[in-house]
Amino acid sequence: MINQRIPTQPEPRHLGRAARLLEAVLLGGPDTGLDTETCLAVAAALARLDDVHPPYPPRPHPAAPIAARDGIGQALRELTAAIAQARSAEEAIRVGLAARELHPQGHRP
Amino acid sequence: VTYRQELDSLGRHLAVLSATPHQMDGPEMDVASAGFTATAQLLRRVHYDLVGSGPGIPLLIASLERPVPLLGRLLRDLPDLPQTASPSELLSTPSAGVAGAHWCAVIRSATLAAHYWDTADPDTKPRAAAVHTEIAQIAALAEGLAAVGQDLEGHLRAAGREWDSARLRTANLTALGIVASTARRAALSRVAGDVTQAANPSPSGPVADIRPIPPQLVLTILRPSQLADGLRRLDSLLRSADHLTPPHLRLVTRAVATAASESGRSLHAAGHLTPATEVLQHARLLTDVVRSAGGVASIWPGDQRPLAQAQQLHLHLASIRRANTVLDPRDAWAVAQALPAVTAALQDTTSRMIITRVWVQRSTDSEPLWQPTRRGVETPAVLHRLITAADHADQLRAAVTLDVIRCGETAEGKWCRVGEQGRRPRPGQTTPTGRPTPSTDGPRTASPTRPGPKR
Repeated sequence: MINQRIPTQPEPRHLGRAARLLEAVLLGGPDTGLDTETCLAVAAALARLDDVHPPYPPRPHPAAPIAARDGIGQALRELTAAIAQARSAEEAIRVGLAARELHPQGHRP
Repeated sequence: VTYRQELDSLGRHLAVLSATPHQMDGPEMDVASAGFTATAQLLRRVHYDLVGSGPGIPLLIASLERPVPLLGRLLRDLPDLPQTASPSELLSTPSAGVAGAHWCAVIRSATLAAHYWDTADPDTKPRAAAVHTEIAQIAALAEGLAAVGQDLEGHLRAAGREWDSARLRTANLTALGIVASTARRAALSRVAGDVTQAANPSPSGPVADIRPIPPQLVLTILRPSQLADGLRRLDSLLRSADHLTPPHLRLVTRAVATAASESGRSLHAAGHLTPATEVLQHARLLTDVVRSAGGVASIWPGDQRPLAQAQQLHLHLASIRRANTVLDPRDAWAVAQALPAVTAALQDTTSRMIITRVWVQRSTDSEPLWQPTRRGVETPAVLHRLITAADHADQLRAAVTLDVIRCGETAEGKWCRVGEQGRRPRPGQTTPTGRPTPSTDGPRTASPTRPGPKR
C-alpha cells in the first residue's frame, strides 16, 4: 500500500548492485557453493537491504546464478562502498548490519 | 562541520565496525571502550531531549508496543565503561589496527556531535514530524552500537577483562538491537505520513541541521556579588566557543585561579577551613595549568568572548587585591560553587581542541618542529594538568555543596546549618554529629549555599 502511495526514487548504485549480486547467489544451489547456512545468511542480508527507507523501485531479476563465494565477496565490496557514500547515519548503519549478516562465522573472538 | 555531518560520520564508522570482523589488542580495546561510552552518552542525551524521560518502562515483551520510550530505558542502562585515559589522550596514542582507527573516529564524531547538540539553538532542534526522523537516526545508531558492543564484549572477555565484559553483558545488548530496530521502523512509519519528506529526502539528509546558539554577551562585572555570575557565563562561553587558543587558555585559567585564590582567602578568614583548603588547593592546581600552557599553539584564531569575560573577572579581582580587602563570605561561597563547572569547561574545551587537531605543539626530536596534537605525538602537558584540576573539581564540588559545614574553630565547636537558602537552624536542632546547635550565639558568617550552575 505504501509503495502505491509514495513515489519511488533511484536506488543508490552500490546498494542496487549488492542486492542484485545477493539475489543471484540465492538462485544457485550446492553446485555454486550455496549451503544452508550461507543461504540463510544471504537471505538475512538481503532482507536488511530491502528494509529501505524511502522505498526504491523493483530491481530487475538476475538472469543466472553465480558462485556463492564470489557473489558474497563482490557484494561485500559494494556494501563497503555503499557505507562510504551513505546519505545518512541511518542508511550507513542499515548497510553495515546487512554486511554483518554475510559473516556467518561471526565477529567475536 | 555540523552536528549532522558528525552524526553521519559516526554512522559510517559504526557501520564499518559492525560490517567487518576486526582483531583488537589491549590499547585498541581501551579506545573502543571510550568510543562505546561516548556514543552511548550522545544517544542518551539526544533521545532524552527528544522524548523525555517517559514513564517507567518495565522490560517486558509487551513494552515493544512502545519501542521509543523502551529504547530510552535501554540506552540509560548502557554502562559507562571505565576509561584508562581521557578521550583526547586516547586519540593521542598510536593505534596500529584498523579497528582502533575507526574507534578513534567514533570517539571524535560522538564527542563533537554531543558538543554541537548541547550548544545548539533550541529553536533549531527537531520539532513535530522531524522528531520522528531524528529518532529513526538515533535508533539506527543504537542498533549499530548494540552490534559493535556485542563484538567488544567478546573481545574483552577473550582478553580476560571479565568485569567490563560482564557490565556489557548485563546491559542486554541483544535486546537493545531488537528494540532499536523496532523503534526505527515505528519512527519511520510515522514519517511516512509525510509523503514529500519520505520520498524526497534532501541530499544532506532528511532532517534540517541544527544551528549553534546565538553568541552570548559578555557580562560586565561591577560588584563582587557578580563574580559568580561572571564565572557561570565564562563556563557557557567556553563551551560554546568555536576555538580556544593556548594563550587564551592561559589567560582565562589565570583569571579563574585568581578567583579561586580570593575565594579561598575569604573563606579561610571567615573560618570555613575545610572548603577554604579545597578552594586554595584548586587555585594551586589551576596555577599549574597556567605554568604548563606553553609549547602549544593554535592554527585558528580563538574566540574572543571567553577571554573578554575572563578580563572582566580579572579586572574586578585585581581591584580587590589593590584595595587589600577580601570578598564577602557569601560572594566567596558563590564563587567556590561556580569554580568546578568552569574547570570542567576548560578541560572539555581543551580536549575538544586536541580532538579536532586545531592545536599544534612543539616537537623537540622530530621534523617538522610543530606538529598537530594527534596520534603519535605526546599529549600536551597542559591537558594533563587540566585533567588533574578537573578531578579535583569533583572533590571541590562535594566540599562546597555540603549543607552542613563547620563554622569557626571556636573552643565551643559551634555548628551551623547553611543550606536551605541560608535559614538559621532552630534552637536545639541537632547536627549530623549529634551536637545541638546553639540557641542564641550562632556564628554570623554563615553563607547560604546556592544551587550549582546547570550543566
